[in-house]
Amino acid sequence: MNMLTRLLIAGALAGALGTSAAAEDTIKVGVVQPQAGECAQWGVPITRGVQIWAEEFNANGGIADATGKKHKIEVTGYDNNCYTAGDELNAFRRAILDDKVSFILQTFTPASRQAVAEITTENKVLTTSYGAGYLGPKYPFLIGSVTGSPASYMFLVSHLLESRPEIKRVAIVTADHSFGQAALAYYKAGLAPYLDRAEIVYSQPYDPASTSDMLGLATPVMASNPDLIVELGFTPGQQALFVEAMEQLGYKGLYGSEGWTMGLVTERVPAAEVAGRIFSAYVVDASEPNFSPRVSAFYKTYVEKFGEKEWSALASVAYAAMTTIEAGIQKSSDPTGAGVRDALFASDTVDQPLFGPSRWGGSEIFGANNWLMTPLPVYVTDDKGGVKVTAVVDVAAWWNAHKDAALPALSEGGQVSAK
Amino acid sequence: MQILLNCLSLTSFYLCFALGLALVFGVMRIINFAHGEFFMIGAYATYLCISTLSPQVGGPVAWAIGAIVAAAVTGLLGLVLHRTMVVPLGDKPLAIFISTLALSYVIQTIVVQIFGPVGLSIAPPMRGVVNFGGAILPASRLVVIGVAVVLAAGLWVFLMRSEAGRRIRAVAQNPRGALLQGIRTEKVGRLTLILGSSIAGICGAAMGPISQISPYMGAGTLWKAFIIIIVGGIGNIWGAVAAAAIFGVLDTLMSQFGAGRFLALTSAAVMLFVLSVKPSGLFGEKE
Amino acid sequence: MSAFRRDLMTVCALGAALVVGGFVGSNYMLGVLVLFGMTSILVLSYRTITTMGGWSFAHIAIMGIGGYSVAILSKPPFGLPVLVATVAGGLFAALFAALLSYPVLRTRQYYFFLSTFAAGEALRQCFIQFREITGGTSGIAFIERPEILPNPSSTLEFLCLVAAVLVLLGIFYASLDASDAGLKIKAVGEDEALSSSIGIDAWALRALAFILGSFGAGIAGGLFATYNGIVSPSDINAMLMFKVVAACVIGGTTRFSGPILGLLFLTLIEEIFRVVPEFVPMIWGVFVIIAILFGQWARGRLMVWRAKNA
Repeated sequence: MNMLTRLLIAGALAGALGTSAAAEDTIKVGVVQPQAGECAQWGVPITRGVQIWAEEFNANGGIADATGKKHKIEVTGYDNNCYTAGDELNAFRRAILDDKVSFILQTFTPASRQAVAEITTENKVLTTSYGAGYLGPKYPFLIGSVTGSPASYMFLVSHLLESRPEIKRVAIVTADHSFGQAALAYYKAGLAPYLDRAEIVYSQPYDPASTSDMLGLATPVMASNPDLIVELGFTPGQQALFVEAMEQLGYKGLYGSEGWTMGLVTERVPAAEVAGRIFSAYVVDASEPNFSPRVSAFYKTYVEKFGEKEWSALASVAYAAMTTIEAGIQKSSDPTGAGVRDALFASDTVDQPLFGPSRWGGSEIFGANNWLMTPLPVYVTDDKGGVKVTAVVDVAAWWNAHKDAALPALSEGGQVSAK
Repeated sequence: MQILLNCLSLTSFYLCFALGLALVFGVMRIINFAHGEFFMIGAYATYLCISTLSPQVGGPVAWAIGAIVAAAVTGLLGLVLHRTMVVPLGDKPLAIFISTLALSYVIQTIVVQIFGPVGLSIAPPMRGVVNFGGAILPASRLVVIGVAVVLAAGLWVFLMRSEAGRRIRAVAQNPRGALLQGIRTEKVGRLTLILGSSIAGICGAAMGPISQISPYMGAGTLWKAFIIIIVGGIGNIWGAVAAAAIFGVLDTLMSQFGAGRFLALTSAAVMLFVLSVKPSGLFGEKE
Repeated sequence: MSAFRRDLMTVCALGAALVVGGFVGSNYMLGVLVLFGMTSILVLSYRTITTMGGWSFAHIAIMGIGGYSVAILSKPPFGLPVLVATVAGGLFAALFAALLSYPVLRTRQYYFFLSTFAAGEALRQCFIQFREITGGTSGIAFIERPEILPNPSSTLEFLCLVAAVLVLLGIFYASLDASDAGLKIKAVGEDEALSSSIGIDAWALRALAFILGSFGAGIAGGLFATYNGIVSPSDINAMLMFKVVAACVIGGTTRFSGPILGLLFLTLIEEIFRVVPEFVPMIWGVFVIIAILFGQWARGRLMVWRAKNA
């Protein structure tokens, strides 16, 4: 018994002494993402993206704030199991209370963002994501750095309908989990303004466990006879299997999703057959060389470090999300969470390093204008299995023109938190 | 027609995976949680063989070599597992369960370190599609169906006709009685575990080309396999075949008619129902 | 010292250690202690279930009932005080266990843990699918801390509350263990046929252990919900279930100190190696295997030693 008590007290003391003081001019950034387990296939590339972003600055002595003083950036990854809300909060407690980070990149999953809303605001830790997901007027330190997920689904599908009037029948294939449900709502919102000339022919969510039988999943989709299929919830490998199954069933229409790993697709389906038919709208896909020289340099660094097979466009998404924080640090003379937030929100536009001037928005959906609506590049496949930019959507303009039609669909899908 | 073919191919997926587990669980009454990881290792072994050998020998041959390598590697792992965990912990099924669970974490992490956390895809060794009156069946699925049929039939013949098979059945039915008959149960356990693990490996080789391979692919499949062997009745190969067919048809129809999101709920409810009404399974004999 | 007093000492020492640790530890340490305290409630209540001879895999899902009860009852239109809702959550969990005991207690051994596994998964799927009540996969967010605390947002005060609940439940379970019913439950757990033959109602006793153990899970679930401020189906995951079972397997379930030490062991691994999160599952796995195999080896040695010295 005594030993148990002693052990516990010793543990408590070790924990108390173990907290090290933060070096003065280092900027600490936490990345809360799955680091192990099934979801690490998303979390690890995202963490690497942030690390490379930091290394780019550290190689030149650090990032300069508004006074010209340079700060090294220290990036730490924290595990959240698999975007589990309780583990998200634990990871934040570690990052904020123990490691004293000032900035955190997390998922856009609403449950995870809600779980940490209080702690980030209380400790003034600027917490961003590659998208909005959830924001609130009571939580100024919860922001969305880029248009990102899940809003990009809405802008992708609306762009496709606007630029291709021949699309009449749309199938929405989403998983029955929280990302999937958000995607379903945003896809429906993007289609809402065009329902006079196009219809949704399939929108049945599937159980993520049923993806082991792709043909079984594809058969009912094919039976609905769509011209465009928008997807969310497959892993990259599953996407390739889905395209393969649809092609085997004789599908000739278009595909859209937030992103595709084309190497996996072309292993199964000849690139020439799907050229011009597969669309994506990640925040930015660094493997495409022309959109921005800076992100394509990032792509080269990533592939050199981790190999081409380990590439995931999510790495560039995380990188892009951090460039908004970077703009804030550079404009602030006090690069803390609060100082950078003030600098970013000094005016209602931010000159985003990758996307140019972008406006803060989101109040209609979230009740707070804490979401930076960056222009959204839309990518299409070519006949060599690569991608090229087909358009850059001015998301703020589309939203202003169509929000009255889109908002009810978002509200019905449970995505609107504004009163 | 397409729906029928989908039912058939899903049944073969389920059966293929459940067979090895049915053997190990049915005979030794231990839950090898790392069975799913053996399946995953089989798929990765096939990936390595196909990506290195297929330029020289062609896809199908490389795949066949991969399947043999997969069976050998996982059979060896089964042997190691038997030596290090099953024998020392013999009378403690829970300790075996937790330590094989721990083993599955170790294997997953090692595979992540070697191949990365991002899933890979095996270039299909057999391309092409077979037509059946307007419905299609991709060649790679035909392979899985073939493998499942051969494994099930082969296992049945082995258990029913061979001397070793008879011993295995004796141990499965009554370990103490078998011991009294002079059967060395430990040896039978070793054979069973090697055989069951090899089946998992072969299954990984068969399923690899039609699914994404990832370090975590085994864990998800394991649960369904348990449901199948429980519903089918432990220690009964034909029961497993029938249960695989039941779920193959049920799951295909549910996805087809818009109830895809209730799949997990139905499977769990069916299992709970069968266990509480007839714990020996639909086709099992009473213990 | 009698077994009952040893168990009482264990929970009191643990409760005291949590509070002392809370006063001397850093802010982050507080969070770790709160989690440890709440998980201790889980493993202690789980231990009570194991005394009847069955290892349930529905414990974490049943904990979810407590969590969802607090989330729903503490918000309008009910608006109950959080602690009242927590107790109600415990009662709902016990009630659910009573209903569940009809199908699952018909099974034994492997079948018992497989059927509870299925029951837990079915329950978790219900949390996901009945969206109107449970918020679906997103769960229910912004659950308040107990109003009874002078400063609800203080983690230290919450830790004291957890320690108090832990001690109360610990005393309850220790008394149960030492009572006549508790002894009979253990007899049933060891040899059901023999117990029945001397007139013990095995079914009722097994159900009793299952229900009372689930009550503790419900309470722990309520505490988790109010501490995290959110409940969601993803929190009811197999990892936590495995952790509880592993703590009991490693530490042994004869006395209260076993599962607690097992849990301490697992928590220390997680905290020490958190700088390399990608390796934590492997390290966890290796240590668990070593602990189990070593425990088995040591027990074997002990038996040989006792036989020699007898």
